Amino acid sequence: MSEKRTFWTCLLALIVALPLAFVARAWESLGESQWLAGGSPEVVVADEAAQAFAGGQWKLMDMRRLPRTDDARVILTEFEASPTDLAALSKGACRVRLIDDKGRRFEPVTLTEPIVREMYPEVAERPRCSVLAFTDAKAGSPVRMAESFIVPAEARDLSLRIEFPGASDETLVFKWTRS
Amino acid sequence: MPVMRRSKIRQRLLIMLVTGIGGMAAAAISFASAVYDAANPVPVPVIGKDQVVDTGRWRVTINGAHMSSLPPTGTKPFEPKRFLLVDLELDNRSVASSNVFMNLITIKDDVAPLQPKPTYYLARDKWIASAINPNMPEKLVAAWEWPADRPEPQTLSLAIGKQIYKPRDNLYGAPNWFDDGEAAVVELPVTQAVETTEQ
Amino acid sequence: MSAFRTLLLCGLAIAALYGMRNSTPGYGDITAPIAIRGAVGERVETRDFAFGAANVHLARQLKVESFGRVKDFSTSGIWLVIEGAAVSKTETMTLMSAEWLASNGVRYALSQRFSTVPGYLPTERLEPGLPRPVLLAFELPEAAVDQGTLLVARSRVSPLAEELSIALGDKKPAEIKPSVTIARSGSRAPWTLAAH
Repeated sequence: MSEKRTFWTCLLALIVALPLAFVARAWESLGESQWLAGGSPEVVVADEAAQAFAGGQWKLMDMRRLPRTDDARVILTEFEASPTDLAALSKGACRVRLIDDKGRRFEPVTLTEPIVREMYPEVAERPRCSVLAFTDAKAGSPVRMAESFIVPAEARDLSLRIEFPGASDETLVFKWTRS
Repeated sequence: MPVMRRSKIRQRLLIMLVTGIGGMAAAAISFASAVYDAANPVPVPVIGKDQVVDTGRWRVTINGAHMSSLPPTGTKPFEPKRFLLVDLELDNRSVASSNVFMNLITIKDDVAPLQPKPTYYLARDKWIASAINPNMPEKLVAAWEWPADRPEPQTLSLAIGKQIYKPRDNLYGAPNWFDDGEAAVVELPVTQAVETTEQ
Repeated sequence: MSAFRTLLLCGLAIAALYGMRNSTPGYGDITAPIAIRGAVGERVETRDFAFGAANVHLARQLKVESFGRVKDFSTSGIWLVIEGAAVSKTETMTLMSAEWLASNGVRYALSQRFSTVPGYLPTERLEPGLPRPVLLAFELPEAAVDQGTLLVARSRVSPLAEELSIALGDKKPAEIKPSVTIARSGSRAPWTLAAH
């Protein structure tokens, strides 16, 4: 091959090799970043169906819309999990979010809302989703949990998203079509 | 190689030597200066109280020290305790508010160092100090809990830490402040607090 | 002639390298937050949240009333109190970082001397779509208020995160009040601000 041809071939090879070198170095970080990945696989559950997830059978019992102020509502979610694999459940850390039709993510409130205590006192006593809720659990007997969220009055198409990293890579999505 | 003339080999050797000398000289000088600095440290001045010490980031003035049964908040603790309180004034000379004065002052002692680290209180609020703003000097009180089994001191020797600003540090090239040894040692007598009735 | 040309090229190369070295921004500038500019009185938005500063007050002394007791906060400079509103757009968040950037480049952090002021910015949890009134207070030397900028961000050490840069402009209050009292209120706004 002539010298000129060698030169241009090598230059082209460089243009291909340099980005490949970057990608090879940063493969794991790219995979972790939000940009490329798009989230963990989702398991979507229809109304009132039980779903196996993270070492238990999970079911959304109810999602109620309670008044709060003119522009805000309290969403009270009740769900339960029947443990099938207690070891897995004790390893994970529960993460619960409420998503609306616009894709906004709501975190559960940390203190019980007064309206929940007033209207549903027995639900207000239920634990939040965490490893603590499963400490006294026995396989087969359901653990009942409740989480409350504060959302704008116009929020629609709410879905409850539960992640249990440590016990499962998937995201459990409950869609509630009733309220 | 055996085809080359001996003079050419010598020429190449000479060039290698000359270009290597610069690098070797630099390494030798840097090593020697490090050894020299370690052997002859800059003497740390020993001063009395009420003098301003420039530590780079802070200008510190130690105003006094006394022992007291009450913390600077004025509320009596549940169990009887003794506190060593040091009054000082801090002037932030950097460009941003900072609350990094926790390691600024240490008690120089032969015995084991006092644990836990002192708590800094803002004299103005009689409450825990938060960040100090630049160009707004504040009076603070550093409080150590004095263990019951140690005799209370008559004099105190405080080492004041120095910090140096590097616009580009050695790892990221980011600007940061770094600890740089001691700026001064302040020796002052410890008085006993006048026990007033406080609520 | 060839030696002169070599020397000239060497000199040009050194000059170019020197110029490049001195004009390269430092790590702090490269990873600095992205500023989104606005002014007092208007709503300034990032992708995740929006904030608007409404009222600006200057006072020599600040009093905070809580649970019946009034606590005095004195300062060697003056107090700058800003009332505004903030709303999150995408997820539940708290705006943890607020700084005042004076015209000479000095940055003053949000005062942390208060334990419980209703509506204080780093303690207000913002839910998406629900605007909340928020309060900020800075302790500054008097000269730092003029031509200053308020910087509001979600957190202090997030490289390349979006940060609001709200200029005071000509909205500086005409006078410095001797004292301002902030008290908890049960009505629409979580606090009342009274000047004396």
